[in-house]
Amino acid sequence: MERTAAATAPLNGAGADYEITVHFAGGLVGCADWEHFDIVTDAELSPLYLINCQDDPSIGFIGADPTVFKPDFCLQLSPEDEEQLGYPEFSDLLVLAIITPASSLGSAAEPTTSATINLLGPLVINLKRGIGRQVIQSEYTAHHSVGG
Amino acid sequence: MLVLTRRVDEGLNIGGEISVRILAIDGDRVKLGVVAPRTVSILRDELCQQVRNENTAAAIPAGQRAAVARSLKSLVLPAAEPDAS
Repeated sequence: MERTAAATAPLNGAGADYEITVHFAGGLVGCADWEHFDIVTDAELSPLYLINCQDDPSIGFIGADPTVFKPDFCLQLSPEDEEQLGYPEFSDLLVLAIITPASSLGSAAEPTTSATINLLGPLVINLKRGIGRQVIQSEYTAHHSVGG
Repeated sequence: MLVLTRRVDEGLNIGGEISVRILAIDGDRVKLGVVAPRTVSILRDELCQQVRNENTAAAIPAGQRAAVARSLKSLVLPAAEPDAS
């Protein structure tokens, strides 16, 4: 199945205060302990999202709709992915790619000019069910330039 | 780690539901066939490793997350959608 992530665009609209708790069964890829995340955005953050790990509060990410940085990004879900996500409707999906700041320390004082976004392993979330999965998109890079 | 020697057309079974078969060997390349339930995720090791490394590299300490988001936003916003305020 092919789906463009652009369908999540309405959720990225300015002023969309937004918070949802999402369960990633089995955790993120290679990070099995990180299963529960709060995903937050608001007018100030948009189009960025804070992705805060409940299981380990010291763990958290910044994410964005991949189409913000790669307009032709196209998500592919395997039958297995769809099953794990509870067979979501197109309109129920939120797709977030994780941004890696230039420095892993992510100091606010340091401009993050060489930040990248991970298109290889986006988080796909069924908003209706509150379940998510990190799906591997082998045709994309883990270090897509964020620009700036 | 369990180490087994298998020949072409032989295989092994894992946990009753997953079977792995050696289909062909050509020099240093081995072609495997895997039969597993749909719910079992099968991925190339190196892709998993790459995503795992990137997950770890992208983690931002709680106290800095909002501030990093703000500085990232000032960078990306010109290229992103306009603020509708």
